[in-house]
Amino acid sequence: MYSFYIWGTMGLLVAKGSYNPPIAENGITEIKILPDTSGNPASVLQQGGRDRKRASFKGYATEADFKSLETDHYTATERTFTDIDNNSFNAVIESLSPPIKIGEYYEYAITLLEV
Amino acid sequence: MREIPSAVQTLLKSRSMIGENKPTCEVVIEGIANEKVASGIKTKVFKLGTEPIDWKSVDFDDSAWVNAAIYSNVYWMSIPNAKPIWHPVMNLMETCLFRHTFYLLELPTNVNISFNHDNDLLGLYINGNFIISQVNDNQYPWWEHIYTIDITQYLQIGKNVISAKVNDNGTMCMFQFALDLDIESRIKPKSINISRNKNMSGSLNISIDNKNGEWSPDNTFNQNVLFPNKEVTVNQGYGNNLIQTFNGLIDRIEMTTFPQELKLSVRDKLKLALDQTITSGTSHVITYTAQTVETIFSDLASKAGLTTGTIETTGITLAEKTFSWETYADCFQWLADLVGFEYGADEEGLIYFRKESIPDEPIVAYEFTEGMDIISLGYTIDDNDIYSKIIVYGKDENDNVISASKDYISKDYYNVLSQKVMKIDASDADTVEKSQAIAERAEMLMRSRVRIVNFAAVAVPWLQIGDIVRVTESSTTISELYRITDLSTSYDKSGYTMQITCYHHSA
Repeated sequence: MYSFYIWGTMGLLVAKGSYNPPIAENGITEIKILPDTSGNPASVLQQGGRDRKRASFKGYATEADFKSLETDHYTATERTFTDIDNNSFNAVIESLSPPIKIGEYYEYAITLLEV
Repeated sequence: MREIPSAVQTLLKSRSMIGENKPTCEVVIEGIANEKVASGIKTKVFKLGTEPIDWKSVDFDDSAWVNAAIYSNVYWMSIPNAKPIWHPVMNLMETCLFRHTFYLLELPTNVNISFNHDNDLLGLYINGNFIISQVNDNQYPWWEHIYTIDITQYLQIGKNVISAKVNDNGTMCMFQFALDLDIESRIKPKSINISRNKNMSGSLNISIDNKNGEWSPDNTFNQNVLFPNKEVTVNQGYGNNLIQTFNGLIDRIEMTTFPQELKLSVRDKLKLALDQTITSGTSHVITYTAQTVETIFSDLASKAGLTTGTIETTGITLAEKTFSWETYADCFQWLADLVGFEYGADEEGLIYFRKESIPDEPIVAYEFTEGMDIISLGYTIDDNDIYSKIIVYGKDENDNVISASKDYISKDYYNVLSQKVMKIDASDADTVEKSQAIAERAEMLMRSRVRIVNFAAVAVPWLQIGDIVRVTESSTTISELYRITDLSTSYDKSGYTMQITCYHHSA
């Protein structure tokens, strides 16, 4: 089977319309200040650096493949994730939902965290 | 007062410190390779009599060797970051051994050592491995000859030692070196909090990510790198505009398992005075005869291992004074009380001893403005610690009571009750002049207690205790000058801010 989403060397089946490409918060904090009468914004922006990128999607996998993802999740194994647009980053599985068994497949939700 | 660059002043009023102007910091810890590895005062030196066994090896104990002295001729400083060094007690035609210890957390690629020497280099060693010797080829001027050798293969993770034997054949035994290490600092601070109070030792608290115990003192790689009394320097600012905000010595290392984090508690260089007992040779009693107060202060500071900055003239000479089994700080306090001076350690680790005065023509270091950089502000007028008059009682050499007094300069303005009088018994004051100095110092301190403003603001790391700031805001109907007495900064992911306590200086 060919897949457009790769976790390490494992192809992933992603439910249509569920994929959120990797993105991170930019770490900007808004600090409230004493206002003046000018009408200018009464806050100061300071940036503490960006957070880690996260990608998430709903997928389905055979029991064996799901067990493999589960092991990676517990051991925080770092692998390269590549998506359909060829975006690639090294990640661990931050969260993996309890699966729903549908026929031969396990359906799950997953969040990948940049390392 | 430290001048704030105009670009930073503009930035501080812009309400936006993001992107290339975001808050930034550097933490430099003694012995870690993000510090420049170069000859300087931290290089140990030994004047050769009998050559110690194994002096070139990594594990040789050089604690009995002295710190190198720096020859401050700028023309000789021909190698970036390095200082020409020699033995502090140097005679002509002598041979010296040098050792410089540093720690590597990872092995860098292509490390060169640049060096020069006056005169003969009898041997240069890295971790005990012989690198080179150079005899009779170091022509005058020696500092213009810079030799460079690749030493990558001799370096190791953990402790490394550069050692050299240099012989003088006519002038002075001099050595200078630097490594072109380009290792990014791996200290990852999660937060940096600095607190400074007038007349107290400044403190620094740093939280560091300590994944897998990377920085734990018992980790084989970083054994005792973070350890009590290691020197810590912090530079902070915005973007590339950084200024030194702290220099001190580690008090405490605290590790937690979850999250894996390490917290350092650091005190400024006054720690050397607060923690150590006065020592001269093997004695803990020191007597000064016919010395000025500032000379005594400087000598004690030197004995404590402090580097002096501003030492002002007191104009007072003591016929005889004996200190016995006291800490250096106790002695400093006694001297300061005697002449109405203040002392402390500044952001760069230099100790000062200066007249405690309020400037008549203040220079404003920075102006805080509502709508731009003030987060919150509180303002208090309180006569709790205010007295109408201060009277100091002392005893002269014949045990006769002597006294001096000083009226509070603003007693009428603040409606101070006329019979509210402070009495100070000062048994050390044996002249009217000394009693008067104590009364005037107490009156000066009182001026800083009546009208207090506390405010939080965007951090301005250039500001120091004693600086005058202007605060422009409308709620208290004031726009006045204040003098900073307490200052603390907080730097973490949520921002870089400061808390300031000031007293009113003038309208």
